[in-house]
Amino acid sequence: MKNRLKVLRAERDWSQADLADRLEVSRQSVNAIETGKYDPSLPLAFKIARVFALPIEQIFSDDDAVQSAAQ
Amino acid sequence: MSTQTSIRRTYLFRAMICGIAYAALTFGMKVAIRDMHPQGVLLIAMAVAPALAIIAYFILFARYMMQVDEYQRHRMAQALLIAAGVMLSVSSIMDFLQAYAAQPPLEPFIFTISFMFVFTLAQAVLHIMDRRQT
Repeated sequence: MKNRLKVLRAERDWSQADLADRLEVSRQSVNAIETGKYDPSLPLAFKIARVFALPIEQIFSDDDAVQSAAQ
Repeated sequence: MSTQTSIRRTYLFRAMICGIAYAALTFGMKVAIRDMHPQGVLLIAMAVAPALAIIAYFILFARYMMQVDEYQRHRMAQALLIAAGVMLSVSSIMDFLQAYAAQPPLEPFIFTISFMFVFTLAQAVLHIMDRRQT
């Protein structure tokens, strides 16, 4: 799964620690999600969407869906 | 200080207390049983006392697992699986060596302590891998 976390965070000038505080998770968790090492659970994904005030699909996208669209 | 950092510090402090209690009870009960020659229920209570520190640690660990965020829980589960895999492999090898190659049995208590050591080591390795990919 791909995500735009790093871009959205940069737009708001938030550090990983700032976002981690807002999400009430560790900075390591934010880093793991940003780098694609870890896919968040549905509740955490919704929380991320709430923090950025965006629909969830504007933050996360399915790899297979992106490839299908490109083809 | 974030909530997650605070949770981790509390856990590490309490885990350290369990470790110190285990060492003190192991040494203390060994000396006490040797010098006092207790019998019956008192002997049994003194003999199992060091295990209470280990049990306390596992309860502490279970509570910590419930408090940390999902990614940390995922990493700890990975470290636990690594530790279980390593220790069960070593244990199987030692059992067969004992059964067929006349090797002496391992010292008592070594399995639990080794498991905790390998678990801590696995967590450290995963943490280093995380930092390298940051």
